[in-house]
Amino acid sequence: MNKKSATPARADQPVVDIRGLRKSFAGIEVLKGIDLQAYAGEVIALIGGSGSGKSTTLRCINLLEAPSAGSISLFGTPLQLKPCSTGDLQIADRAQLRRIRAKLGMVFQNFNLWPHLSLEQNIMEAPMQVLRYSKGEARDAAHALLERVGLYEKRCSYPATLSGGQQQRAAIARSLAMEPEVMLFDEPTSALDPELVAEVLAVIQGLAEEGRTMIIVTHEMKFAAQVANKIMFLNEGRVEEEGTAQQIFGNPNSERLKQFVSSIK
Amino acid sequence: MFKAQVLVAHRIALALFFAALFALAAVNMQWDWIPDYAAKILQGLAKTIVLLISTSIAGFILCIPIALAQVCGPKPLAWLAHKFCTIIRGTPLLLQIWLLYYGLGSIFPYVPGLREAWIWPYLIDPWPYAFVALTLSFAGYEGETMRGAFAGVAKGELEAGHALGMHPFTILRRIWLPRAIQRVLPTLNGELILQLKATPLVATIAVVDTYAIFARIRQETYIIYEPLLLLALTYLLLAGLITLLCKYFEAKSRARLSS
Repeated sequence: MNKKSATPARADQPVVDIRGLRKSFAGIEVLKGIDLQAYAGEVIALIGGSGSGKSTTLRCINLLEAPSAGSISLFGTPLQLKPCSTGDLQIADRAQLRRIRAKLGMVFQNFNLWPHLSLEQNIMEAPMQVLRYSKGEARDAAHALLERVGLYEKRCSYPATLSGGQQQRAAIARSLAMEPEVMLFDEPTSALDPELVAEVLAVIQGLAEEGRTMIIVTHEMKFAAQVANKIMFLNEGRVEEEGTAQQIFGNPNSERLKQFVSSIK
Repeated sequence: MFKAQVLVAHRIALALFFAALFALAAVNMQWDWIPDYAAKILQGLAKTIVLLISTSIAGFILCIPIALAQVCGPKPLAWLAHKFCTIIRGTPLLLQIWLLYYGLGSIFPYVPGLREAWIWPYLIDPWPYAFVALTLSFAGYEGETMRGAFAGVAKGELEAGHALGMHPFTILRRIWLPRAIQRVLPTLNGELILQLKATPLVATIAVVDTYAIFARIRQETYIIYEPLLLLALTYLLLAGLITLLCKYFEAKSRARLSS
């Protein structure tokens, strides 16, 4: 398939560039100015306690959550945001948002596969509807991706008949079918039984080794240390500390991170 | 798969009982009018079925914007849609049919130029009024049902569509609507049967449906009971057909949704 669109961002320019991101829910500020830059090929892990704002940060990147303030640039283009009646920012150009979302793969905690479609159809849907692939093209791509995540035999099964781990692998395949330039993972293993976590992490690790740009919100610290070039520790809506796994886990500076690291050992 | 056994004692007994009842009715009651009216009955039946199918489809299509307006529309539209459902569901269908037919029907002749328009022959026919009244009624009930069905589709499934860059209309067409319909299938069966049983009301504005034919048979032959029995049987069979059809679709969708 050679439909890969969009000019690759310059190496010296981050593909995801977030500055001063703020978000309030009903007057309570959960993000208090987050800066995040991801360069092509980088794997960033967002860690932190629950309520620290890591999922909200991730969901603001593709505007599933409307930020209250801040700027978001993706692939070198700033998102055109304007204030709306609730006080949050909203997209000014919806077509621009759809174009950008098509290049951002998102994997959810609860998989969010479409129950009325078979695995194959789940994966073919967006390439056909958004990228205008023909049915044949989309099916070939879907089969290759299902093969890759080890679900080719299940291509005609419906999501409800699969285990959580299988569903999440299918959901990853669904995102990959759009040939995204950046993958966002929102706690991809948090809803899984412990024995199913490994199979999903293996797929994500494989993607990291391909040199994909990824931002992963996770509670799997060992995994984060393994795959991430950069780890960001969030606390109460701020980036408390960021650095390599070595720095974060081996040599934490702040009190809060020291506590966090010792609590997960 | 578990398959119900047909030949069990109580079923055989029931079948024999009804066979006996049927034989008794055939022998002791008067059915000689049937051949004379067979053609008319079939015509009436066709009208009932056409009315049922056309108003159910049109009503269902109309209910989608009514339901969506209530779930995610701007406030004035949501208010309007909600009031529409309240009024339709809160007033007798018979009254709605009469208000349309006698109300509008008495206003139209005073609209300048309408009498000369191409549409005039249709406006003096009771058909369009029956169609509109039954369609609005179905839309009102389904609008309320579909509102709940749309709202009940997991937010994450729609978010997945947005995150993939899908157009909101594509998400509605490919995900939201099919998922909502899946949820209303069990109730749709009952509501289609109610719609079937609402159709005889159009006989009051001189649409000649199944019921109207049987009413005429009673007037012309002075036979009271037998036509009513056959009429009841006819509606029962139609209702049975609807149930079979719905069960088929329900089984199909349940097979997908359960592990």
